This record gives sequence, structure tokens and C-alpha cells, in this order.
Amino acid sequence: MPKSYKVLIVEDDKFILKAIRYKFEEAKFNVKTSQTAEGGLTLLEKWTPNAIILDILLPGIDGYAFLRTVRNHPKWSTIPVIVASNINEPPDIEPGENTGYKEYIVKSDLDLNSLVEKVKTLAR
Amino acid sequence: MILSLNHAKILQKERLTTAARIAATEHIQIIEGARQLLVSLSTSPFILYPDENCSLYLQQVLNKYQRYNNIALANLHGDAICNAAALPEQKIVNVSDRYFFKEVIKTNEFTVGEYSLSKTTKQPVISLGYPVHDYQGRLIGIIYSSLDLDWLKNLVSSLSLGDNSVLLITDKNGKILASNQNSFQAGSLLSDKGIVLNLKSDSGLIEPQDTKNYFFAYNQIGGSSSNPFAFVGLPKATVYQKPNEDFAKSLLFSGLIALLSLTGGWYIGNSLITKLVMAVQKVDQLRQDFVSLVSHQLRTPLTAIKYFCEILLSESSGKLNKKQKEFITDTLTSASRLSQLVGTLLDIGRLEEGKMLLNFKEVSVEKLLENSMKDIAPFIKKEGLKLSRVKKRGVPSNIFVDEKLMIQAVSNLLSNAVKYSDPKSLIEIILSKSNNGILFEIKNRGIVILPEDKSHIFSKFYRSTMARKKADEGSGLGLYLTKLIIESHGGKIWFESDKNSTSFFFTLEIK
Repeated sequence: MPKSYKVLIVEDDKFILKAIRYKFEEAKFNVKTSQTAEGGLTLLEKWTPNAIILDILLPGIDGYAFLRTVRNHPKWSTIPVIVASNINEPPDIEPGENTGYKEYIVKSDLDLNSLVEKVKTLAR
Repeated sequence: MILSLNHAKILQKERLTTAARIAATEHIQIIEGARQLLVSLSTSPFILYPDENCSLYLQQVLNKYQRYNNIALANLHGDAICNAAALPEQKIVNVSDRYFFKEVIKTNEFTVGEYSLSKTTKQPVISLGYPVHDYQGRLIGIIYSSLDLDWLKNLVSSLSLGDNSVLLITDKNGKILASNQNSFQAGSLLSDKGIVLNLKSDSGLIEPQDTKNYFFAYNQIGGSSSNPFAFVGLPKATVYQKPNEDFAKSLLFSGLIALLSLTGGWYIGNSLITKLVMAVQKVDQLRQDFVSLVSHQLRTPLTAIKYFCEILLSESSGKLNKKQKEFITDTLTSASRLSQLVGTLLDIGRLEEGKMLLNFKEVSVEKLLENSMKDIAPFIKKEGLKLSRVKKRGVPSNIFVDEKLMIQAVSNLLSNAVKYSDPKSLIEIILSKSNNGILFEIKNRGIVILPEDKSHIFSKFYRSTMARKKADEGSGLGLYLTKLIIESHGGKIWFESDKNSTSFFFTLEIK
């Protein structure tokens, strides 16, 4: 990998977070994590990642609110976001350039290697 | 056959039951249709954030749904801030004194209001209101519509009752509240017309007096003593034109009762059916939310198990011996199966309830098959099976389906075909043109379906005798889900099995 990509993982389940973090660090990503959306937004104030992996059901403000905030922020609106949730229903909006997120995945259907590959593609 | 009038009336009872049932169905549809339109409008951005385009938007909706006399949005003061019927210079209408408005404010629920005369058309209309909430759940307005009685006229017309039949809504004293005929003006009294009322019972017939021209049937709306009455009248001449043609009379009489049931349904619909429908919907929503939540909660620890198994198997955290690898692979396989099972149960729940929103789109049939075969390709190779695909003449290239679900259905059938085939045998996929679409056939040779299993093969959790012997995996949900998916697309599924082969067939219509 020519450079170290930065990825922010917002995920409230500590075990899933631990596994994803491990996998991305193993793939030489620069990883920061938060178990809440509020914590994720605080991190973004000082640090701009190449991609965000975002859970939807979070304590406090949820992933949708996080997504809207990122989408409307002048500095963060272009950061690709992968919505990774175990809810079967994706958000009502289609993924795309102008909708704030790039892809919706059901975590339990995806293996970690594929997740790393997806983020690498988006981060380029 | 020649019958007396009384005998003819007795004979109507059976027909009346049917007519009332038809009428009941129709009024449920009308009430529910109106409610759904208002619910849908209440979430529209034009209504949630009304601006100068709001009235224009409602005008477009009104053009589309011509059954409605008007559609408007009132703020919490009752001012109709958007109004499909509003003219540019028109004063803003205030509906704060209207029953439907007060009721919606009070109950926060869909309300069927009172009959009144439309200010523009002078025709009797009924108003229906629904609360509008912002994203925080705060009541911000009331969307309401007025429905005219043209549908009743249409029913009069469809029952061949004649244009001169009369529909009246009166209060308990016989004061006309609404009417479809100019000769019975709202505000006047039936007694002024010489019609003698004897409204002791909640329904009945009023025979024409010598000097009067109408034969009336009446029914109290909603059953409460204070509720209004619905009257349907037919000219005496029509009723007695051919007194012995009882078939014609039966139609007329059935028509009267059907109309009465229908009008009665307005109020009953409000107090009973609508609330019942809403209560059922609330329970359904709670159950759906519960299933979704349970599904999510089950998947979260499963995902962690899967991820850690993957990490261990990658050996980045340390080398594994052969047995350790085998056991972790088994754990991963089991976790994946359980995760799929949770997804299958969730899909089944939604399809059974009719709650799954199908994402129909045009899909290439070839691509659909290709994607359905992805998962089975390694097993075909492993068992040395041959797979042939035949597309007969006239089979459409594209079809409208929910791609994800249809891949799942076809994949389930192919997976079964692979599982129950003799090694090195042939699996055939044959596509033919059916009446309105495509007939799919998936045929395999090997383990057949025994006669005792045939009637249960699509049952939930059923595993056939041979399936239990052949493979210890399987939930007994695959064919059940497949059937639900095919039927949710309007198709049919069945099978034929003899001692040599088994074929599963299903049809999909081109939409």
C-alpha cells in the first residue's frame, strides 16, 4: 500500500469494534474508533479520515444523524461512508455521490477481508 | 314466477346479506383509501414544510384523486394554509369549528367528520382529517380532505336504481342534513314533504303515501340514538311499475339496503373499523419492530464470532494446528448458518405479514440465473454434475422482480437440486413461455420426493424423509420461503416427482 489510509470506525459493539480494528490495523490502516456518534464527530474535528465505517443503531444520536451532520459539513461532506449495520433494511436513501454514503452492508453477511478491500477501494 | 310483494321482500333477505357484504367491503375500501392518502400526504415534504408550492402540490394530488372534493392543510389555528381548491385571491378558510378538526386535535387520530354541503359545489360532502407531525413527533397541522357523494351516485347508477333515486342524511327529527337531489334541500324537514316518520327502530321501510311519490328505506348510522339516519328513496312509479317482476324489484331492494349499509359504514367505519384497522396496524408495527430488533440483537454477537473466527483462521494472531483450524472453521460455518437463518426467519415473517416492500425492477433473466448459480458452482464441480440451460422460443429476455429475493428463490431450488442429485447426473434449467410470462423448470435426477412427503413439501420447518437421510443440515425453511417469494410476485410454484427425476416449476408474470 503506497500510503497509510486513515479510517474512522463508529461502532457501539465492543467486540465487533475490536475485530474490525484489528483487521484494519493488520492491513496497515491508521485507525481511530468511537463507540458513539458524538465521539466520532469529536474525532473528526481534529482528524480527517479517508473513509468512515458507520453503524446505525448507536447510543445517543444514531448513525443517520451522524451521516446528516457529516454530509452537511463543508470539510467532511466528501468523506466516503460505508454504512455497516445488522438491520436488514437499508436507509431510505440510495447510496451515491450526493447522498452522504457510498454503500450499505449487512455486517453479518460480509467477511472482514471484503470489508477491508471495499474501504481500500473507496479510500483511493 | 309470479310472487306477491311481501313474498318478494322475504326472498330478498338472502340477497341482502350479499349486498350488505359488498357494501361493507366497499366502504372499508373508501375509508381506508382516504386514510392512506392522508397518511401518505402527512409525510410529504410539501406538507411538512409548506411554502408557496404547497397548494399547487395539493391541486396536483386532487387532480389525480378525483373522488375527493378538496384536500387542504390546516395549521393548529384551523387556517387552511394550503388548499387545493384555493384561488389566488381567495380568503384563507378556517376550519377550527369543524368536528373533524376538533376531533383530530383531541385524539391525534384519523377522524371521519360530519356531513355538510360543499361551499363550492353545494353537494353533500364528508370531511376526513389526519394529524401531521414533524420529525420530533409534534403535532404541527391537520391534513384533511372532503369526499363528495358521487361514489354513492355511481353506486345508484351501477345498481340501475335510476337518476331520480334519493339519498338523504337526516338527523333524528328528520331534518335533512345532506341530499343528492335538489328537491330535498338540506335544512328542510322530511315531514314538510308529507313523509310520516316513525323512527322507533333503527331501520325500516316507509311505504309511499297516496299523495307522495317515494318509497323509502332508512337505517340509523352507527346505532346510537343520537346519530343521524340514512334514507334511500325510489320513486313509487319505479317500484310499482311492474309489481310482479320480482327479480327487478329484488335488485332495487338490494340496492336500497346496499346504499344504507354503505352510508351507515361511514360512521361505523369511523368509530369501529378505522380504529380497529389502526389498532391492528399498531400491533403489527410493534411485532415488526420486535422481529427487527431481535434479528439485530442476534446478529451482533454472531458477527463478532464470525469476525474473530476469520481473524484466527488468517493466523495473523498465531499459527494454528490442523485440528484447531478445523474446529474454528466449523464454528465459522455454524455462525454463518445461524446468521442466514435469522435473515430467513426475518424475511419469512415479513412476507407472511405482507409487510415486505418488494423492490421491483427490470432484470435480465440470464443474469438472474447466473447470479442464482454462484453459490452452487463449487458443489456442481465437486459432485461432477452437469448443468444445462435451455431457453425455449419466445421467452422474454427481461422480467420485473425483486432481484435479491428472486435470486434467493432460484438459488434455493438449485441448491436442493444439487443436494439431492446423483453424482455426475444432469441438472436442467428449462425456460418456456407461459400464458403471461415465463415458466421455470429445475429438474434433477437422484433422490426423489416420496408420496408421503408430497403434501408437506412446502410446509414451514418440514424436512422430507429423504432429505433427513441425505443431509443433516437444513432448516426446513428453504422451500417455504421460496414459495412465499414466488407467490409474493404473483407466481405459482409446484413440483412433479417420479422414480427417475424431480422437477420444480414456477411461473412469473411479465408485468
